[in-house]
Amino acid sequence: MGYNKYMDIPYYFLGLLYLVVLGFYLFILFFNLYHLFKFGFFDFTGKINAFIFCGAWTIIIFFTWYFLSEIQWFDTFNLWDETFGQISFF
Amino acid sequence: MSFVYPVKKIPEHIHPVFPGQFADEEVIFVIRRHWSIILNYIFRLVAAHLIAIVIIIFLVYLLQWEIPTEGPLYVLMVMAVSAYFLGAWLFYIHEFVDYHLDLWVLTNQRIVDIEQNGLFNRTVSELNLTKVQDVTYELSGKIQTFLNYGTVFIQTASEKDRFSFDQVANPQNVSRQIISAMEKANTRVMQKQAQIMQQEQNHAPAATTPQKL
Repeated sequence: MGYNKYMDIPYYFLGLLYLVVLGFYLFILFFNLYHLFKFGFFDFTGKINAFIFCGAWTIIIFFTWYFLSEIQWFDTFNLWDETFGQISFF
Repeated sequence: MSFVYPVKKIPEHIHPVFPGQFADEEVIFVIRRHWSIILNYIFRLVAAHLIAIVIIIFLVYLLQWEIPTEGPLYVLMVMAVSAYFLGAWLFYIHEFVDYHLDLWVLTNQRIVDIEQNGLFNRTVSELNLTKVQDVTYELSGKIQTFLNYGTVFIQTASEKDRFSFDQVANPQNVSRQIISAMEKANTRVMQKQAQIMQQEQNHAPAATTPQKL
């Protein structure tokens, strides 16, 4: 069986992939911050680093959302024609 | 010349200073690895951002690569860049937590080594000061010599590996503090032993001389 050249993929599939990566990220992040709180050394340095980190995290997520806000997630695209077909290095 | 290690004075209302501190235990110092270690991770974080910015400038302005503002390639690129920056920050916070939770505590009774290895591995080792036999310190390399940080090794009577304080600032003063605390602890133990012997002698029945037959 050959591959389906005209296979259509919905955009939300990419969104779900991103959410899986984000979920893994949040899992590791949760345990890191939990350790900071749990083991009793949540002093000034710990607080300032956690604050800066949360700020950076918010900015990154905000810009990601901003750049992707126009995407029609239930539209579909053709993987070969519309994705790799747009790249032309030569 | 004073050899008092310049640690921040711990406020008296904070008790315990570290988890597992005894009620009658006095904390002499709490130290972490040298600040240059965390500075190294901050540089890496900044470098990760600069690399990404340079690559984007190179692609867009120098190669005149026109990234479409819609379509799957655009979505993939936004997500990839977002994941890259999130990953860089996650790496930093992970290293910071590892740095922040690695502690060495010297009290008037013992040495406590609290070490965070990764996310789910935490090791807490204790060493009674009276078991300390030898303390040495080592500064290896140009950077450690220039910034005055290194490793302090504590040799004990046991066959186990040496206890070590890795990459701590001012290792000479740290080792002097440990030796001073060890001498005080030994003196205290000897005084206690002498006191117990004295009490035993006072309470022992008077010695009887054997009678001649």
